[in-house]
Amino acid sequence: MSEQLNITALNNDVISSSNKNPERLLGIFNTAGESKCILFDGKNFIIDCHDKVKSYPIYDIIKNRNSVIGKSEFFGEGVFVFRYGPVTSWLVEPGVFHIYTYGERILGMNIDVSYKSRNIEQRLLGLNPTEAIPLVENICGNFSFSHSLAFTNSIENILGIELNPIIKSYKIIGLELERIYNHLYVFSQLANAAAQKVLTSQIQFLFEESLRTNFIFSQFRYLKKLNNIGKLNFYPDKKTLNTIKERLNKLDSVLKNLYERTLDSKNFLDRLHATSIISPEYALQNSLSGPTLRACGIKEDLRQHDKFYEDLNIPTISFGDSLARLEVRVEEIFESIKIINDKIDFVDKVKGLVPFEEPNVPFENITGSSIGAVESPSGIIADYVELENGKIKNIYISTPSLFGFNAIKDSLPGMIFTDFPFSVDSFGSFFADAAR
Amino acid sequence: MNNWWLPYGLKKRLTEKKDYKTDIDVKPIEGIFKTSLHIYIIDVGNSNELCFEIKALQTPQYNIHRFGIFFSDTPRHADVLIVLGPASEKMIAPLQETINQMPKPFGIILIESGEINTGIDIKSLVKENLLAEINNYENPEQIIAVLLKIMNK
Repeated sequence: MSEQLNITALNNDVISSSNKNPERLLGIFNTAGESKCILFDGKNFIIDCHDKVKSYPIYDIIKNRNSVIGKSEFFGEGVFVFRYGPVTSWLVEPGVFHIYTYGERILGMNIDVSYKSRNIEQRLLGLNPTEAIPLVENICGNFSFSHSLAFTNSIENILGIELNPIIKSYKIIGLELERIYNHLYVFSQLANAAAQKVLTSQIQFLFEESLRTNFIFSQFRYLKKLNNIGKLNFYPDKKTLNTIKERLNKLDSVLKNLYERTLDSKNFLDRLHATSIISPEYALQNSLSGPTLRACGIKEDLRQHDKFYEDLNIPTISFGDSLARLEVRVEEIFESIKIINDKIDFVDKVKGLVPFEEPNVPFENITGSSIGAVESPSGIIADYVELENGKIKNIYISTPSLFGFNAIKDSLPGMIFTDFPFSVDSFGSFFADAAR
Repeated sequence: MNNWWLPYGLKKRLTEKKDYKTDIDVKPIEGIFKTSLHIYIIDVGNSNELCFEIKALQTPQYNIHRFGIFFSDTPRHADVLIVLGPASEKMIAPLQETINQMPKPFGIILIESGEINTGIDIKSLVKENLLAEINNYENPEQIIAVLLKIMNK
């Protein structure tokens, strides 16, 4: 086992690095009496006829995304359904795992996300875009900046707004700060599941410190009330940005030390290695994105097509297990720190040289539709928005957690109960995000 | 490099403040829970921000065990139920059942994260045992301060 562990930790084979991958189905929605779908090919979002995607394996899951993911049924001697949730101490969020088992081994499962459903898309209808932002931020509190950014991107596309480079840099800093604390959260959860008490405490410490860094940047620990259409509600000053830079550089050196020790800890790695393996074929057929996709060898990241992310390093590992997903996330933290440092330097350098004008956004009487998307910490968030006379007429929000839960459902069978937390936590999926 | 975790952990001093104060009105349960408090968390539909904050509450900066505050794995072993709201429709019944499972006497703390309401108001469900209500949640220090006030510390 240990020989294989070393191979996994060092294996950086890239299975696919092309800009385009097979089309993945991200969502299905109705507009003007017609059913349409959102497809993504690794670079572009395509709105197409709904009939085309009926054969996709993820089709039924997306169609019934507010109820139970999966239709597994198992019968046999001693087989029973173990219901885990909606009220448990380990899984604080309300969701239900219906696990088929005859004892230690998991035979199959269905996951009910509906306990967290708050009908946010319905609540958004009829609001003007600025009124909608606080509600969008509350879809999933730990992805609030990503959700807000995907939404404002779609409105900016409808209005034809090109972002000022300084404003864009501030938005990138917010997005990368969100990625850092989410990845640290996943790391601490996995360390805790493996009963690595010292490691857990040290990573939890960094997690809390990163939430405090968010507070310094935005006055909110979860980066709320900062983003707006074509602008930010306020702009942290030079002193604040320098403080953030100092804190992140400290985090970088402490985390590097901890990560080095982690990769040396066979007890920990053994729990993650070969747990819930996802193949690249499965990932592409089932609309996975983000660290989960990159952990099975597919070098794809929405940020690579953004000219504001220069020389983006995309960490990719080919094994597809929980360990690979953790490794990708930790490498992404280091990359995010680098990006934030670059953006702070850029803002420092060009502020005063580049005209800093906030766009005027008169969306009254505006009618149109567009897609806005963001590479959130756990994958692609894509918002399809239709505006009619400046009000939201139709909105569809595609979230990465739905596809993450589907992958958990499909990758856990064959594993044993003690693998359960390592699998669930490694995908970084949340019921609030999946159920909206 | 010595990669043994124990010396690494021992040389760090991560715990911060010694006491936490709050202006939030708190109703202590007279005569009990002065030395230890076991809490159970139920999320009834918040945006997940508060679930993250419960994890943040368990970080070494706060080190809540030194105050005798512990997380319970079941409502049957808990003294205080922390409800993270507002509630989704389907979580009303599980909340009622969780309250039924609490051993008497017990208290409830209701936490909601701000002005955006995405669910059902549950104050009427929890009012009988409500010890404190945090409406505009800011950070884990607020929760610790409320818990310490319940314990008269």
